Amino acid sequence: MTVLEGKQIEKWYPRLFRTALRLTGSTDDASDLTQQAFCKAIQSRHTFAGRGLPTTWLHRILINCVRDHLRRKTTRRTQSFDEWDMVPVDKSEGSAERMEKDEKMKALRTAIEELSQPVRIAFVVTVIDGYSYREAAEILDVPVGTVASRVNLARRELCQTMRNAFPEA
Amino acid sequence: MDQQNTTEIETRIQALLAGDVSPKERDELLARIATDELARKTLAEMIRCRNAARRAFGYNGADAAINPPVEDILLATEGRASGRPGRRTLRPVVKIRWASLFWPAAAAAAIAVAIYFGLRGQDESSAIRDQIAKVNQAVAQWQMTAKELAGYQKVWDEIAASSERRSPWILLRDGGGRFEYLPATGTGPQAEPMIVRCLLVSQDGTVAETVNLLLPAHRPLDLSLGETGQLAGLPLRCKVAAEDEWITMDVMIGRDEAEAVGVRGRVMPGREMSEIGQFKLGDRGMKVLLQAVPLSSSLG
Repeated sequence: MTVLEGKQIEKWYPRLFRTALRLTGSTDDASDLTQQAFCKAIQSRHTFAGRGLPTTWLHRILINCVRDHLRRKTTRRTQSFDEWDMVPVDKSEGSAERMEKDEKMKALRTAIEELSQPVRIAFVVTVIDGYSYREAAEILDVPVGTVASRVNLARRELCQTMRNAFPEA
Repeated sequence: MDQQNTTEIETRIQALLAGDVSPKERDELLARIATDELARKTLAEMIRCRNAARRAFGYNGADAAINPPVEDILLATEGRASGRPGRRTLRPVVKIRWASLFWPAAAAAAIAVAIYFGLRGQDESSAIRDQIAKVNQAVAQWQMTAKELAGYQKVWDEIAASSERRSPWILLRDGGGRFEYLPATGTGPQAEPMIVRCLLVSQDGTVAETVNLLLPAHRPLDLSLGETGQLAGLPLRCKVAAEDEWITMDVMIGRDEAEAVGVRGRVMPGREMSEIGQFKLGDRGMKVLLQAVPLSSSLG
């Protein structure tokens, strides 16, 4: 099976970029890492066995790049996710309700960012990026049960954080 | 439900949501969801969590491509149960065995659909109200003056005069502009012009960026305007489409399309300015306002 022709890179780039962005919080880092992942994938395309989906294979390469990057990075990121938020207007609500909703979204985002790295990666790859636990296990190179327990832990921690932050909700 | 059961059902539901299941597995799981209250609760919680997390990270409708929409997954068995083609699975229906073979899937699908629409109900109704409000709500302080419109008419006349049959589109910015001629549509006269204005306004009322575009009215078109300005040091790109009397504008911020975020909205020419969306830059909200005004009718 031929992978990584120009059109395929064009097709998969946004999805990989988004994953990298959710995990690094920096557009520059995400852009570098996505390009790095594609370069590595092109260099090692002969290793793609044709089992599973090329996106899963690409995500695995990307996640390895992100892990290396996060290991190397000793300082906290400086660019907020906020810069890249798109907030659709909800005219059915008053500004106070909108602000409250924004607050909740911000708190949730912060809570996701503060999950431990393995838990956060498992959560982003499955819940946000939409991979099954089986696919995520392949991407992260861990057993399916590990993915399931990490995502379950993430979900419980996020629920708890949100309950603590907004007890009335 | 103990931890092992929880893990097992979560794994199966996530596979369902990710479209990573065979038709048989999907049917079995939907049947279980139909009869197992804890499974239903788990599904509801997982969808809620997913939607909230995606919203928190600014995922929009365009991102639906990352996996099959929940609606498609949950409705997948509906067609077989009712004898109509399903959305994803086409299989001949054997009428005699319908009741014995398909009722669990039908019941499960009905319940799953109810869960889905129950969860989505709030969002759906808000979205519909929002869409209607987009067109109707006016932002009165940004109305164009007759003097401005006369100025735009003059610019249009000068550029359009260079071609008898082809209408131009003209992007005006910072006292200058660029223009291009559209392909001729027939032997008739050039179309009347209209001005499409898009403003990016911060919460304190400051106009951060303006896009003024002159277009032929009543003509279907789809234009990519390229870079039309800058916001927070990032390029601002716009696309505009005209179809069925509506003007649709895509406003995107980002270095290239792959990493851009944006809003899309549409207005009916001749109506007042509408807010089509909002960008959030740090702690600041930036409203995106859109209006389309036919020059001749407004000046007449």
